[in-house]
Formats: sequence, C-alpha cells, structure tokens
Amino acid sequence: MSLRPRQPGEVGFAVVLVVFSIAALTQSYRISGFEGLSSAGVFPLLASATMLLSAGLILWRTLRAPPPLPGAGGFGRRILPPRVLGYMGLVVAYGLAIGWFGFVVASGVFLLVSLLWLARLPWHQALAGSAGALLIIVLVFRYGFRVILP
Amino acid sequence: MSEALGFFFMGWLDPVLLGLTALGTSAGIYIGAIPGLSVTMAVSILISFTFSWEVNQALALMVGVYTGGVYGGSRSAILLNIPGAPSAIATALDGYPLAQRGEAGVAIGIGTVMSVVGGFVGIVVLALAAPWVSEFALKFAPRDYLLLALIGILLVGSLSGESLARGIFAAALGVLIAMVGLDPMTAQGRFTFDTVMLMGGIPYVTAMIGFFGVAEALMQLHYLGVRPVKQRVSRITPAWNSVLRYLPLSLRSSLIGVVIGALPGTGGDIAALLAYDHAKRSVKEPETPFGEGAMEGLVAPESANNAAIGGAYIPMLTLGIPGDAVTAVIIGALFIHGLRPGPMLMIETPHLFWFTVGNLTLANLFLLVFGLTGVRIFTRLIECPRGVLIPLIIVLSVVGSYAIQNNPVDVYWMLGFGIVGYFLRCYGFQMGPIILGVILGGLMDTSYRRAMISVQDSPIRFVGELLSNPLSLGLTIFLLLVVLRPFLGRWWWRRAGG
Repeated sequence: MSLRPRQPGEVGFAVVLVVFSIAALTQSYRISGFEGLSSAGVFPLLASATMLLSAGLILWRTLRAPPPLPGAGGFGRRILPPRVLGYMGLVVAYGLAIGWFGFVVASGVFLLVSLLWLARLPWHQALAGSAGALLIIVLVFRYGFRVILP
Repeated sequence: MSEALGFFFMGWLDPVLLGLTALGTSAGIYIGAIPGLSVTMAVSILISFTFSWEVNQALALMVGVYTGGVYGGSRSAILLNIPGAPSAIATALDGYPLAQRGEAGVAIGIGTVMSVVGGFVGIVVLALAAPWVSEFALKFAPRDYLLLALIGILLVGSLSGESLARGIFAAALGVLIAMVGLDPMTAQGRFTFDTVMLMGGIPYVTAMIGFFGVAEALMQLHYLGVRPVKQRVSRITPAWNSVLRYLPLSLRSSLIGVVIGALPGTGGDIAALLAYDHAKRSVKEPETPFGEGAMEGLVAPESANNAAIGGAYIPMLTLGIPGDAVTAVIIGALFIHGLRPGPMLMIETPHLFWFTVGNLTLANLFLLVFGLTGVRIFTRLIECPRGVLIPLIIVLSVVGSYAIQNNPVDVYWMLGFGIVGYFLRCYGFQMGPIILGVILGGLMDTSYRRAMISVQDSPIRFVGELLSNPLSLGLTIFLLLVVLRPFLGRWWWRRAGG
C-alpha cells in the first residue's frame, strides 16, 4: 500500500464521505427496512453499506498517511484556490441566472465574464468572442439539432 | 449472410449516415486531441442532442466521435507531450521524444496507419466473436448478470484509480444515484423524500455530463497558465516499408488491445499501457531505446487503443455490460432510443449490430483520410487556450443537460454533480466507476432481486446456485480475484522477497 502524503483537507473530505454514507444508509433503511432479501430497499442498503465500509477504509488510510508536504500549499492553494472557488461561484450564479434571465442573456454574460477573466482577452475581443460563440451555439443546437434551449 | 452485408453497408450507401460518420470522425480527432476535452464528455453531451434523431444517425455520429477521439489523443501526445485522452498516455512516452527530434510528421503518419490497423483487427474480432458470445449469453441467469456487472464496476475501480477502496466507493455512489426514483418492480419511492421532482429519478445523462464535463472543466482551471511547446510538422504519409516493418508488432498489440478492451470495465488506456509493455519486452533491439523515441513504443499503444474499441463493443452489444466509459455512455444512448443491449439485441435487432460493425469500419477508413491530412491547421487548433475552452464546455453542458427533459432542475443536478466530481477528482477518485454504477445500477438491482425471488429469498439456496452452476462459479471466482487482487499482489510480493 502506497502511503503518499495527504492532500490538504483530505481528512475532512473523508469524514464528509463517512457522514454522507451514514445518511444514505439511514435513508436506505427507511425504504423498506429488513422486510425481505428481494425488497425495494435491499440494493440501496447494500450500496450505502458498501459506501460506508469503503469510506471508513479511506478515512483510516488517510489518517495513517503522512501529513501534507510543507511548502506544497494548503487547501486554499492546492484544492480550492481562489480562482476555482470564484469560478464555481460564477458557474452556480450562471445556473441560477438562466432561470431568471433566460439562456441567451445568462450565457452571453457568463461567456463574456469568463473570457475576460480566464482568457484575459481585451474587452472588444471578449465581447465579439462571446457573441460569436453564443450565435453558433444557438444556430447549431436550436436550428441544427432542433433542441429546446433553456 | 447477404442480409448482414446489406446492414453492414447501410451506413456506406446512405449519404446522411456517411456524412455523419465523416463529421463524427473528424470532430472526434479534434475533441480527442484538445487537452481538456474528452471523448466521454463529448459523447455524453452528444446523447442529449441526438436522442430525438433516428437511432442509426445518432449511432453513426457517436461511432465516428469515439473512433476519432481515441486516435486524436495521440496527436497532442506527440506534438505537445499532453495526452489528449487517457488512451494516449503510453503514446506520449516515445511520441514526444520523436517530435523533439523533428520527426513529428513521421510519428503522426505511422501512428495513424497503425491506429487504423488496430481498429480493423478490433472490428474483425467483434464481427466474429459477438454472435458467439451473444448466443452463449442466452444461458446467463439473472445472478450471472449481477456478477458480470459487479466485475465490470470493480475492474474499472481497481485498474483505473488510486486505490480499490476509492473505486468501490465511487461505484457504490453511482449505484445509489441510479436508485433514486420509483422502484421499477414495486413503484415504491426510493430517496424521493416525497417530492414529485425526484420520482422520475435522475437522468443518467445529467450525471454523465456533470461528472465528466463540468468536473473536468473545473479541474482544467488548475492548468490555465500551462503553455504548450510549439512543434513543426513535416511530411506525414509514412513509407510503405516502414508500415510493413512495424506490422507484426502492430498486429500483436492489436490482439492485446482487443482482449483488454473486451474485458468489462477496461478500455484503451490499459490496453495501450500493456501493449507498450509487451513491445518493450518483445523488441530486443529497437533502433532508438524505449522512452527516447522508439517507433515501436508508438506503434504498440496506438494499435492497441484503437483495437480496444472493437473489443469494448463486444460486452456492450452482447451482454449489455460496457467495455469502457465511452461504451457505458453509448449504452445510455441505446436505452434512450428504446433498445436494450444484451443477448436479445442480436436476435431482435441484428441490423443494429451489423450496422455498427459497418460503421466502425467506415469510421476507420475516414480516420486514415483525416489522420493523414490537415495537420498544419490542426496544430493551431489544439493550442486553443483553456480559458476559452472551459466556459464553452460549461455552456454546452448546460444545453445538453437541459435538452434531455427540458427540465431546469436537471441543469442544477448536473452542476451539482460537476462540483462534487471536482472534489472527488482532487482526492484521487475516478469518474468512470461512478458512471458505470449509474448505468449498471438498475440492471444489478433487478438482476439481484430476480435471482433472490427465484430462490424464495433464501441466501443459502442463492449461494448454492452460485457454487453449483459452472458459469456462476467461474464468474464468482473471477469476482473474488478482482476484489482480492491488491491483497494477493502484496502477499505474492512478500513471498518473492520484494
């Protein structure tokens, strides 16, 4: 078994997995309890029990692993750097904005902000790029593939 | 026989199908080559757009993307030292050193021809073996399907991930996602929390797009600043004597690829690595040492990963068990079109099988054409910055997840799976077992319960049937070997004094 150094936040993540597995196991039991070996709840029970066992093993191994290497950066640098955290927020905001403003407006703004931020394009290029990409997406998917856009 | 030939050439004679296969193969090469875009991601998103199409058209496009994508990964592996797809990891080992010596053109040329050779070997084995496996699979009992599905999931978990525990957790999570909704046998709610929204379950395409598309896009944020080294590409059509020289190794590697590809859960990446290892062992005196630009180190993985495509189709079409992550997604497409992959597919819809074989052949021919042309434009496209690709992937993922049911809730599920998938990936979990769990969860659940009902819920009789039936016993032993493999490996290592 390789004992690679822990990733920052790995213990916390393993604990979350264990807690989630316990919650899943409880919910699985509520489906039909131990009514019979072919009841609707048996397979969810088996799946969540498997999750709990493997999550427990992952937690145990994580606790035994050497701590993160000094100088390698903490959770905020290695796992969730500000750029990733910020972009996740932007993606969630985009998902919500679709419901409020419609696909075209929300996607246009999302693409524009992304191109300015991630690709560091100048304003005019980002504007042209997002408008062009959106136009192609609408033409190809709405009129080519005939799918309904959000 | 003539009927089968008619189905085989269906895609060759219909201009729309021909065009879709060509388009898919061409697009697949670029998708496979652009670091950050994956074939699985592309096929997942494609399903959501093509589900309203006629099944043959949807399949023609997907087969093209799959074939082109597996090959396309080698382009960026050779030119940029960044494997565009996991199946091209082994290709980079000698492909990039070849490019550094100014032989990128020769490497791409040989790689293309050998990929096509591998592809054809895979297709021949698929055409010969699938009808036989399908007939044999008619003897399978529900418990055998349960065992096969478990083997597939565990193989993916144990071979592709950091540890077996992580693989098993990921697969069980996928199974749990598949359980959400009304039970198909009793209509009892499972994880629905009494909300109507959850009663229909979570569409697996939503999960696929989230775990493969959004999670991958978020992971790519870590590599925004990485700039690829530019390469010059010379003439790429290989000399005939070079092709003949490497053909025996290509054929051997192709056979490795097709066998590995046919094992449920293993795909082109493992096939390519094993073929590379075979080349290292069998070629005693390469012109250039392995790892420094040996042509043999390029030929073996390129032949094997494309041969694995034909192999992966064997369990998918005959048993309904995907050979790798992409065929898991294609199974989803077949389900959406009302088809049920498995032994009855060959009996009820033989045209679909021969159409797929014909289409794979056609895609390989297109691969030869597109693979040997347009490299100069290609080198510019694969240098597309990640800052442009990432938002495009997110927007396409949103469009794809919404298109399945026109339900905005699916978009939220997809984004949620993407964020969860990001953290899972950061901590060494693979997405393949999750998706296999989502796809196979329903099959495993119904197979298990049918098997239990047939023995009146008696666990002793269930175990008795597992041990008394030769097929079930063989599968049980294989399953145990997969589970115990890490422990057996360590025991063997200690005994050998390592």
